[in-house]
Amino acid sequence: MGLSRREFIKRTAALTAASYVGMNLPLKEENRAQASDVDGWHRGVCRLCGTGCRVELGVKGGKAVALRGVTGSRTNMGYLCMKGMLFYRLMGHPERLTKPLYRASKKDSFKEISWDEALDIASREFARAVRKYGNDSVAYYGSGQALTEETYLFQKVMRAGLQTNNVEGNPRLCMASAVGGYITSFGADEPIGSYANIEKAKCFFIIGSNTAEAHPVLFRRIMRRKLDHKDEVKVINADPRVSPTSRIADMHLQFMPGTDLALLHSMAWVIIDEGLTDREFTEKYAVFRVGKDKKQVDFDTYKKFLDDYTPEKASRICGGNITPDKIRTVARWFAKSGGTVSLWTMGINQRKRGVWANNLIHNLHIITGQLCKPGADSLSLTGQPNACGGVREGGGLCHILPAHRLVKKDKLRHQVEDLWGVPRGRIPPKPGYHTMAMFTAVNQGKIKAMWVNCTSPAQSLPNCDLYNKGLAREDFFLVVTDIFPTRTTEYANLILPTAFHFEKTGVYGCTERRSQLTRKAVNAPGDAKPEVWIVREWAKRLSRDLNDPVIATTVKPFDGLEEDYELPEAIWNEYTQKLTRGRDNDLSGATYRVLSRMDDGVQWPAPTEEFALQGGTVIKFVKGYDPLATKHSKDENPYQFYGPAHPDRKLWVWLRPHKGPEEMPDSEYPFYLSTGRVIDHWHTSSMTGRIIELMRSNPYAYVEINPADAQRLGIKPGDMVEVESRRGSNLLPAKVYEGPVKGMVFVYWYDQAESRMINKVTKDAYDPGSKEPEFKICACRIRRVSGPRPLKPFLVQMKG
Amino acid sequence: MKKNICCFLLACFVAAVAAGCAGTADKKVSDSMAAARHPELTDQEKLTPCAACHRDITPEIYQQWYDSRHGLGKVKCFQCHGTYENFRVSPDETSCAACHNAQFQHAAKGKRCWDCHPAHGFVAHR
Amino acid sequence: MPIGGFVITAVPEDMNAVLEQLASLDQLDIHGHDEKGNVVAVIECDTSEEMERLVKRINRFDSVLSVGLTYFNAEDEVERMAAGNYVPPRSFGNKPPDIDQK
Repeated sequence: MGLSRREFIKRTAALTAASYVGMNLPLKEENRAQASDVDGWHRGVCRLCGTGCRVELGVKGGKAVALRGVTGSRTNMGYLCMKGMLFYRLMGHPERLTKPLYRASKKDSFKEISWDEALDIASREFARAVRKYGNDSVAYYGSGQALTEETYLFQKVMRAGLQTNNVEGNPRLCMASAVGGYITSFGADEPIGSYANIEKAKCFFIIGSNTAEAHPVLFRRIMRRKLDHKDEVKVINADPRVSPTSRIADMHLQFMPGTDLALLHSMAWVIIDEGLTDREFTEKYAVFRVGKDKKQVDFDTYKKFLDDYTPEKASRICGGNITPDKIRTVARWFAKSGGTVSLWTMGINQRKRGVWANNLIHNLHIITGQLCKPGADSLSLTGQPNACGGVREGGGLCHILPAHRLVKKDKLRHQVEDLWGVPRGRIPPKPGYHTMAMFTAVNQGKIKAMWVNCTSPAQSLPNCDLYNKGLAREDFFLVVTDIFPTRTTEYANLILPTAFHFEKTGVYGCTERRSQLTRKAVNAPGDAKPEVWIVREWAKRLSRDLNDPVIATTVKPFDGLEEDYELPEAIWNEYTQKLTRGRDNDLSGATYRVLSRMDDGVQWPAPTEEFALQGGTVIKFVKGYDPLATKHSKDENPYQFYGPAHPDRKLWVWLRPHKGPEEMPDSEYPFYLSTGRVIDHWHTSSMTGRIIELMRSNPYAYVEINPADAQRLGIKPGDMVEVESRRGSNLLPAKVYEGPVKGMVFVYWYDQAESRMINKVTKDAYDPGSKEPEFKICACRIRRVSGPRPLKPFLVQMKG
Repeated sequence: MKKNICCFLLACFVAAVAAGCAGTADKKVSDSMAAARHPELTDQEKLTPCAACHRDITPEIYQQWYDSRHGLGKVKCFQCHGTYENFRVSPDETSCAACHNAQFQHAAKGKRCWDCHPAHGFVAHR
Repeated sequence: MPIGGFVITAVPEDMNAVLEQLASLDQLDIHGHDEKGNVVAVIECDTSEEMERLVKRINRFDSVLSVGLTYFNAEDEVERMAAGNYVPPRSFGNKPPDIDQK
C-alpha cells in the first residue's frame, strides 16, 4: 500500500531488531517480510541428491532469490535440506563459466572463443579420431545429474551417429550394483515400491547408508515415523561407522568393513531357523538359484547353504559389536514387523561384491514376503537426481539402450534402430567400455577424444592419480561441459559453459521411478547454453566433417527448434512416445503437459495420460496398481513379476557365498579406509563449496579415527595425519570420536584440495558383475605428522 | 526457550556493564560486541562450525537443538541464523517458510513462528 | 544500499544523551527505546563498509555499551555484484590451484 520496497525493508529491519529485545513498535505487523516477496514461484525439482524433492524457485527481477518446498509433493511434503535450500545461489554465482574456452595443448592457458569455433573444434577432433583410429576411439562420459533429454540425445548421437557404445556415466560409480541386484533378484531394474511405504513401515533396516546426511529429507520422514510411533517402529542401522543416522536406531550393528554378506545370510538363517518365513509367498513367487549359470536349487539346499552362517559363525566373521543375540534380534524384528523397509546406498553398492550384497538384502525380503505390500520394500536410495531417470532408463551406460534394452540383444537393438530411423546395424552389437575400462583405455592411448558432461572423474574415480595420467595425455582430446571449473576442467582442451538447473528445461527421474519436470525460470549467465542445443549443433557438424548423413538423421527431428522449451520437449516426446512405449518403464503418459500439472511428477509405468495424471504406479507388479501387471497377468495371483530379465516370472533367492573386500588390512597397511559424505556438501563440492554457509560448515575433509586407535598412535583432535595406501596419500586433520569401528578410518570425499582428495588413496578394484568400484574399502596406514595447522578451504578456479 | 536467549543476552549485558563500570573503557571489548554481539573472528576462525563453540558457550541452546527434530535432521544453525555476513539473531521467518510454507501461510497473524513453537526445541505448541 | 536493523544498548541513565547523539546521524533512524537501555534503530548506508565504520563510531560513544546487528539486507549490493560493479572482499578461493599443494 504505497510502501516502497526500501521502506518495507527498513520496517522489517526495525521490527526484527525490536523483536530481539521484546519491544513493541508502532508499525503494522503484516508488513513484515513475507515469502510472497518475489515476482513469481517456479516449480521444479531439487538439483542435488536423488530424493527428488519438489521445490519452487522464487524469481525477482529475472534473478533467483529464494527457494521453498512444495507442500503437496509426495516426495518431500514441503521440506528441504540445507543444501537444497541454498542451491539457487549458484544461478548468479560470479565464478560460473560463461564463455567457451579452448587450448590446443594442455600446457597452454585457455582462450575465450565463440560457440561456432568451439563446436567446429569439438567436431573436428572427434571426426579426426574416428577417421584415424576407428569409432571406438571416442567416448562419452556423462552424469546422473544430466537431464534425461541430455543423456538420451548424447547417447543417440554416439551410438547411431558415431557408431560406438562407448557411452558411460558416473552412475556406474554409484548405482550399477543396485541395477545388477534388482535385475538378478526381481527381474527388472528399480524399486518395486515407493517412499509412501515409509509412513506405513514398522521396521527400517538401514545398511550402508548415512541417510541423515546423504538424504536428509527422506531421513526426516523415517525419523518422524520412528518418533511418532516409538515403540511400534524399530530402526536397525547396520554400518561399520556410527553416523548421525544411528541416532534414531534401536540397534546399531557395527560390523567390520566387508563382512556384510555374512551378516545378511545369518539373518536369513535365523528367519528360517525360527520359522519366520512367509511360506505361501515364497512357494508362489520365488525360486532359489546358485552360480554363474543360475542353476535352480530347492529350499533345502538354500537352508543347508546358510548353515555356514549361523549367528555364532557369522558374529565371528563380522567382528565389531556383532553378537549372535544381536543377529537373532534384528532378524526377528525384520521378519515379524508386519512391514519392513530396507534402505541402502553406497555402503552396499560400492563393494567388490556389491551385486551380491544387493541380492542378499532382496533375499530377506523375498523369504519373509516383505514386498509388494504396504510398508514393505527393498529400496535402494539413489545419490544423484537423475541416475535412475536419465542414465538407467535413458540408455546412459555402455551395455544398455533406452528403456532398459540390452545392447547385445539383436531384437532390442534393431527396435531402437528402427524407431530412430537409422539403418539396421548402425548401433554396434558389442557393449562399449564400462567406466573403469574406459579410463584404462584412455591411459593406454586407445581413446583419443572424450566428452565429459556434468561430472568430475579427475576427482571422483578411485585411485584417481592413475587415471589422471591418461587425462593429461597430449594425444587425448577432452571436452568438458560444466557450470564451474573442476578438477576435470584442468585436463580439458575445450570447456563449454552450460545452463544450470532452472536455466533450461527437462526431466529428472528420482529413486522411486518418479519423473519430474523443471522448466526454465531464469536466463543462464553469459553465453552458457543448454546441453541439448550443444549436442544438436555438434552432431550437425560431425555429419559434415565425417561426410555421414546418418549422423545428421539423429538430430533431424529436432532441427530448428527453440532450445529452452521446444527442443527438450521434442526430445522427451521421442524418448517417451517411441522408446519407452510398451517397455517396463513406459512413460508415454508422462507428457510435459501432464508433468506440468502435477505437484510431484509421475511414477512409471504410466502408459496413458489419464493414468499418469493420478500419479502413475505406486507399487510395481501388483494387479490393480500397476497397469502392466494387469496387462501381463498370466494367472490368478495378485502379483505378476513380468520383469524382462526373468522369463520364469519369479523372484530369485540367491545362494551367494560370503566374500570379503579385494584388499584386506595387513601388517604394512593395518587399517581399513572407508569414505563418505557430509550433509553440507555434495559430491565433489564444485557447487556446494561455492555457497559460503555450506563451505564454512565443513571447510575441509577430516579423517575420522576411533579414540582407541588415536590414543594408541598418539593422535589428538586436529592433529595432521597422513593417510597412505599402496596408491597414494592424503594429509588431513584428525577428528577423534566413536564413529568408525576400531581398526577403521573414515574420510569425506568432497574436498578438492590436492592433499585432501581421498580418491588418490582409494582402490580401483571393481565388482565383476556391475563393474562398480569398491570405493568403500581398502587398506591404509595412518601416521601423525604434526599438531593442528591452519587450513584453507580449496576450490579449483579458472586461472588468468 | 526465549528465556534462555534472554539469559544469554543478560549475561552479555552484565558483562558489558561490568566492563563499563570497571571504568577501563576497554574498547576492544565493546568493539567485539559490536559485530552482531559476536566476538570478532578471523577468516580462519570463521571456518569453525557454529555448534563447535556454542556447544560450550550456550550449552542449553545447543542441547535443545541437538535433541530436537532439527537436531536429529541436522538442520544446522546457519539454516536459520545465516553466516557471519548475513547473521541474524532473530531469523527471518521466510527461512522457516522454505520448509514449513503451509504452516507459515496458515499461522496466526501477528505472531512469529517461535511465539508458539519455542525456538531451538520447536516442540508442538507452547 | 545496505539496510541494517540494530539494537543499541546504552547505559539507561544516559539514555537521553545517547538518543540525542544518535539523532544527529543522518544515516540512522530511531524506532524506539526502553527503560533497560535498548534503542531500536535502522541504519542505511551506501556500502557495507560505510555501515561498519558508522557502527564502530557509535560504539565509541561514551554511554553506548554495544551495537548489535539483528537484520541486514544488502540486495542492491548483491545486484551490483552481479552486474560486476562491486567486488566484495573474499575469505577464500580465487587462488591458483597449487596454493594448497604441499
